[in-house]
Amino acid sequence: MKNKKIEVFCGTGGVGKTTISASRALYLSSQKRKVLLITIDPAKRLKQVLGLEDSATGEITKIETSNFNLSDSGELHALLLSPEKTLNRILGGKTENNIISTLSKPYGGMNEIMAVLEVQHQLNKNEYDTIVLDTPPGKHFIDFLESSKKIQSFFDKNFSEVFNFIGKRNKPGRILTKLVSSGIDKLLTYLEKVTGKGFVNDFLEAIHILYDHRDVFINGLHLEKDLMNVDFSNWFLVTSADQLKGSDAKELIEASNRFMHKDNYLLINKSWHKFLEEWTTDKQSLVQLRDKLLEQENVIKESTSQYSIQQIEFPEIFENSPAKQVKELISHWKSL
Amino acid sequence: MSPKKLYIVTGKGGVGKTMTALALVKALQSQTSKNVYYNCFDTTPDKELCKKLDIKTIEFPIQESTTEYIGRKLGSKNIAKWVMKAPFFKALFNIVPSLGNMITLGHMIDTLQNEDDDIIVIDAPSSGHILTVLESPKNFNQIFRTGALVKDIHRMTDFMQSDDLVETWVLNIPTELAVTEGRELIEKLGKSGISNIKDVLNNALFKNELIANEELPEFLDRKVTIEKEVIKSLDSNFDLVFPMYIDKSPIQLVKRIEKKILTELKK
Ligand SMILES: Nc1ncnc2c1ncn2[C@@H]1O[C@H](COP(=O)(O)OP(=O)(O)OP(=O)(O)O)[C@@H](O)[C@H]1O
Ligand SMILES: Nc1ncnc2c1ncn2[C@@H]1O[C@H](COP(=O)(O)OP(=O)(O)OP(=O)(O)O)[C@@H](O)[C@H]1O
Ligand SMILES: [Mg+2]
Ligand SMILES: [Mg+2]
Repeated sequence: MKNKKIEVFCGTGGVGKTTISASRALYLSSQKRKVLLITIDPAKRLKQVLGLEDSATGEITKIETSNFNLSDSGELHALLLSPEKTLNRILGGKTENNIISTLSKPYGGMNEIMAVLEVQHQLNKNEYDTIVLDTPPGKHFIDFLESSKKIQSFFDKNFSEVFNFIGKRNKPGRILTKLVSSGIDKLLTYLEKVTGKGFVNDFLEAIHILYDHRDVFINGLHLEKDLMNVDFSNWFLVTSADQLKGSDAKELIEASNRFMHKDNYLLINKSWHKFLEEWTTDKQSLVQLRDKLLEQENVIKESTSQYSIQQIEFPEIFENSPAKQVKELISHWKSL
Repeated sequence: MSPKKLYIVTGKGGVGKTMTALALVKALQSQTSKNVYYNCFDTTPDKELCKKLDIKTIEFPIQESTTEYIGRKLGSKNIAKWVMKAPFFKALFNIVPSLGNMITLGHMIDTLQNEDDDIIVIDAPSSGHILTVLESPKNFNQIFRTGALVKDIHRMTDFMQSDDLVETWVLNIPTELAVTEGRELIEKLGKSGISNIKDVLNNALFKNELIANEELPEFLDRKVTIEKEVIKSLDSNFDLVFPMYIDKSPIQLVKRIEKKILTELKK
């Protein structure tokens, strides 16, 4: 497996994205690399896996790799995404605007948008050999992938010119035409009818604040392209041997096809097949049980074999503490 | 059981939300003569599976919900259509997805309030994102503050906080991460005023009948022990427990979980 700037772990719910990406980040750091592990899932299970406090949210934290039996290793840092802190950094401080501050709260809904900006920021800083990314399940991962486009279209030059004009009332004629043709002034009249003046004022203020920082938002927003670049990223589509989710895994492979290249891996996690194959029994009911379990694990492999994607397998680790699971999984990366 | 109007099935990723939501639709269908619908919130349902299970789906596509809502507010469907086509508005909706979440939820509640005979079961997003959905009315209340929209938002929160109308199922599987996430979710739902909660354990190997009665190989023994340890150490009392079934074909799973729901709820 080649060293890349970024490694992305994605997949449907509960397949092990967080657990596996933590083990990967620890493994890479044991290879003397400087690694940043970022989780953009608001559920933040990574904090539990690594033993972080809630207060660490939004702050890059150094992880004691010796807790995972790694002596003599590189460096691992972790970041639990805080949409609020990302936005404040971009805006250069806390904003008083009611709309912006409400929406950037932990469950305000700006998560995937801020995630792209944060990951891009960390890449631009260029302080790490590799960034490992733990993503939210299914659809929200796709939302994340599509965020660069959404940001770009929101910060469309036309909109910002129009709103600047509304704000400053300095009227070069060209803009006036744009204002009328964009329909934004009409839009605002309707908006005021429904929401009242107070909101429209807040709204205009919010738009101004954001458009004032337009450059920071879109400068260097090339994450989407970078992720498609084979020299830049490794992709891990995680599935779980204990989940038989019909179309979900395939859908995700197909949806991410647009974004992927040849350095991608289908990671089948929590596999029992080694244990099942070693299990000898004469009892009819147990033979049936074993064969059924084996058969179902094979269904996943077969249903995904039509895609030209390299498969790697991780066994289920029979430990209850997530940290212990991670510790054992590190060695499986070594043996690949 | 006296059915509610809205059921929300949520929990960590992969805990069995989809299977359980479908099973709950079936269980409700067999208990009432009402129209029970399955909804996937902001994703598309597996229509083929629903058809095989004879389950009706209901969707609230964001574009249509918004046009209808804005149309009602402005007293004109045409203006609403025009607004929704404006490029700026589209860009705004894309960048603030929680606005769309709130409108979808609002449309759903409207439908339920107008149709006495409808029941909806939501196969909801997992923990992190369901909170975004459920907190959206509160957040937009704070954003709009006054005006016609705020009244609508209050109507929404009243509905969502009513224990007679809404029941939320928080699913867990017997692992430390899933059960912890379940506890955190229940606490946060409580803060949003949602307290009619069923705490459900799914996929419990130690509840599988075959497993419970047999001499097991070491790895399965170990798995059963771990499951029991997790549940004990996190001190959780589940309202419902579903075993891990060996046959994972979705139709079979849904039928088995449905049966289990019916027998457990009769107790
Ligand atoms: N190889 C493994 N062996 C044993 N247990 C595992 C393994 N990988 C993951 N798990 C367990 O499976 C569950 C799901 O794992 P995890 O939370 O990492 O998945 P996820 O894909 O990040 O989930 P979500 O979609 O909720 O973010 C957890 O309880 C975790 O401890
Ligand atoms: N009681 C059960 N017994 C055995 N297997 C189960 C059980 N419940 C769920 N599963 C398995 O787990 C998989 C995941 O279930 P399901 O798709 O319902 O989870 P989900 O919570 O909807 O996942 P996501 O977060 O990705 O939407 C199923 O495909 C099935 O293989
Ligand atoms: Mg996760
Ligand atoms: Mg699901």
